[in-house]
Amino acid sequence: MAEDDLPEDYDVIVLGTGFPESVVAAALSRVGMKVLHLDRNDYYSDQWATFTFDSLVKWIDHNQTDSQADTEESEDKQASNEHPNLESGTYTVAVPSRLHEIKNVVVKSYFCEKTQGDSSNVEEPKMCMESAAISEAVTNSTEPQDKENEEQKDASGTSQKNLNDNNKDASGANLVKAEDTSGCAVESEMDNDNPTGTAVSEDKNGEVTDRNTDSDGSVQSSTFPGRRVRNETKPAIGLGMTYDELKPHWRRFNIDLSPKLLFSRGSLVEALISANISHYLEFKSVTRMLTYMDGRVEEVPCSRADVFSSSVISIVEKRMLMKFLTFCLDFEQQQDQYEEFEEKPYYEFLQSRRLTPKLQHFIIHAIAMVKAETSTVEGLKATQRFLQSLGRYGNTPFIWPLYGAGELPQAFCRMCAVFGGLYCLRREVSAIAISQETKQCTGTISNNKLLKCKWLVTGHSYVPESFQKECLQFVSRAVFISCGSVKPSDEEFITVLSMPPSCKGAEPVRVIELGSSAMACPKGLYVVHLISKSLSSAMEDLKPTAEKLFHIRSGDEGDVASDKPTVLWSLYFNQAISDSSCVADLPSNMHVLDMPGVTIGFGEALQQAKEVFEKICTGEEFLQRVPNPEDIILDGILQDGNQNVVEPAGEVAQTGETEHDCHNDENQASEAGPDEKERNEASNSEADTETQGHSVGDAEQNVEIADAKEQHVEEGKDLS
Amino acid sequence: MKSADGDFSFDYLFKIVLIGDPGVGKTCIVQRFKQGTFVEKHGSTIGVDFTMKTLEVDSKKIKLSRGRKLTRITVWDTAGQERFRTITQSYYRNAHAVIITYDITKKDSFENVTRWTEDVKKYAPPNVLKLLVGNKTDINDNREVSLEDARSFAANYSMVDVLEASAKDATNIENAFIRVASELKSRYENGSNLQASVLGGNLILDSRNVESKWCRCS
Repeated sequence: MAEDDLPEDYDVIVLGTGFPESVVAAALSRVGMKVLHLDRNDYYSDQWATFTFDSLVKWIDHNQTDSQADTEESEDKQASNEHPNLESGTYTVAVPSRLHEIKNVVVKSYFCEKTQGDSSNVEEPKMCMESAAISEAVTNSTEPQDKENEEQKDASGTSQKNLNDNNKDASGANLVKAEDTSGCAVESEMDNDNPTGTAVSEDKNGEVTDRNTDSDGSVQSSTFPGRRVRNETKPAIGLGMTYDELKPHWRRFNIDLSPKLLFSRGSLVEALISANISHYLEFKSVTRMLTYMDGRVEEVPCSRADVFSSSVISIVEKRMLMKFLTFCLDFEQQQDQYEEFEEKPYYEFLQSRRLTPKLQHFIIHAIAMVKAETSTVEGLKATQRFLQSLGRYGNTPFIWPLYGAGELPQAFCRMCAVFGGLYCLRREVSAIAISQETKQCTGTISNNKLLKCKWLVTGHSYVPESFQKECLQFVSRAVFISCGSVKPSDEEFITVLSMPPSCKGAEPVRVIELGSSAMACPKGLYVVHLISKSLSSAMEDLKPTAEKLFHIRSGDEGDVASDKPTVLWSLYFNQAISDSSCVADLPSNMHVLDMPGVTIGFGEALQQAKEVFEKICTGEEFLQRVPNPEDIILDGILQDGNQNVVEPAGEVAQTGETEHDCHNDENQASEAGPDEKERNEASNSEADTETQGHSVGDAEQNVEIADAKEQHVEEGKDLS
Repeated sequence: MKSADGDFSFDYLFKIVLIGDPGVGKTCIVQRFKQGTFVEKHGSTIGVDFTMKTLEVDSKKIKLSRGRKLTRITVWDTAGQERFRTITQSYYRNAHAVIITYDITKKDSFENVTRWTEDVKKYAPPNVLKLLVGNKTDINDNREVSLEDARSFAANYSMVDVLEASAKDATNIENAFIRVASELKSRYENGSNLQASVLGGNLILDSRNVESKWCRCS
């Protein structure tokens, strides 16, 4: 299984499993292209990944040690540049093993300190180093209680799930690591899993400086055993918890590197539906839109109902706002109303409509999500886009992918695989082969083997340095694990909060707050993302905003009681923004897809993927519909598949086209599968299964059981 | 994954995912279950996303009757992504059961069940039901894995059962799915209905679209 038996010939090789790369891979595979999709990481989704806490810590570690390793590795690459099976007239260009897309990674941890030496008993109350934190803890489900629960669990947990856990852990111990003595229930993990963990967390709490980052990353990453976390809520989640107490919950975190939302009527939603792959994913509506105004977090009235029920704005303002929003819905039809402001700043236009400062704030920052200086036309478009997506799935225009944005690339990767795309992760690509004569890319070198392709599609981080220009723009990102919501409420929301620029020249900050209902973290905690365009380091850009929203414990000033949610852990980093200006002199059959960037949605990336697809397969349908399960042509496609593997590489365009035609026919045929045939089939299979003594329903099952088998077999023959 | 809009005449909907080494016969199992056919020779899986089948699972009444409880299962195949152990995490999301498959004539494939079990532990929901299936009993002469070994393994990993099957001669294939479905059904029968996720506000995009497809002939 592990041996390297990758075939050598492909139509397209895709490097990196980021979102746009995955979309391109899926679209190409769907029309019959032979796709190889590689990623150097051991996870999917690249810069768009969503991590459990332990894998995030690994990622942090990886990106903090980046700079030293970098130079050596690139030297290695030069040395190993002679490749065995290169054709003459071909040269190679090294693919950088790492790029500088991520920088300024800073981790800060504000967990309570655990008292010395309590590795297995948690009876004595641990002391939070900040005195006030304890009093807060009391209001928020007290610590002693938590500990009692935990104790009970230790005792009862074992008996309750005796069978399962004992067995599992007994044998699991040899596989995973011999760290648990058999019979220990999972609860014991949090105590003896990681002997160094205690030391780290002490160190960390002792002083809150950049130094922490180092200890953080390096220690944890080496000690994570990959545990399953149980469904039931564990005790001790909340304000007074220590770093070690978080550990059993690590797997319940889904923390995005680049969180993105879907507009309910945006292009990605439409694409998922029309490609018939929406069932790969689950979503939840974003349930609350907030903005930061006059030092407070306020709700944004966005739907009609919101406008009327809002207590933030007066009745006169309500009318004004309704009128304005109604105008925005079809502003193009009333060009006369905004013509003279078209290229002028949006705020001037809003002023001219005599909207109050408060309404201007809502419209610019929280609805259009632009800057005051943005042109009126852009502002209107953004407002319209927001309004158009309202009401389809909920009260706000956005939906959030459960388990994180990293699920989306994976959905497209599966689609690609279903149509024969070949996947290999943990796979470095050392170089790109280029023909001296045509200057076209002829393949990639991986594991000292030439993998040939007619087109190469890569994520930005796989672009050889000679084709690269420096990326000058960055996104500043921060992730906070907090004990409470930025605007507390009885309900749990999925929240988008807009922070207007703090001063002229500053950038707005977008905040996405996710709780347990978004599958982002265990109940009681929140994962809060801050995103803005970088002006300086992520920390400098975002810390002021964080301080407005959170209570951040600090050792020296003592803890003051605060009504803001307390931060337990935070991560800052900068992520490069790439665009066409970051690459140059690419071979004409190589296409580079961009990094996630600062945009709030997937629309831009999807558009880029579509453009790349259309360059490779001009005139083909982008993300053609996947047939329903009942239409699946098992025999036909399987034979086709075989053929795919053996088939020698033909003439580029021709192969693509003929294959595509076949698929087209299949789909049409299967979709138009005659009812009668289906019924026959259905009754056949029914009889078949009934003979085995199991009853299968009639009527409504027909649809799944049926598929025009004979027809498919025939097609299969045609294909081979 | 789908809801109880009343348009559906099944009471339970379970997602079952198949995993196991390449070549152990996952696709053949699915195909046998779904279509009652067997294709001797084919390469890695292409074009198979998932299949659906509705069963009546009831330990007491096996007879068909109106007003019965129907269980619909969706069976997900790996789409060949197991080849380099690159199954997406999202494959396991919301799975109610995992069928871990090995080839009784290939010891390796049985030994790798350990690694598959680790993946399940990492990525599947914590309470997921696990069934071990040893395929290819039709070539019993080449057997390399004993049923006893498989039994003790299954017990160690708290799997619900182990079955030996043959997609080729149809032994135990239907049984395996019925076993899983009835186990799941009894598990969810009392209270925690499977629509829970839908009630919890999870969205499946454009359910109407999918629905109309599904209900085409009802």
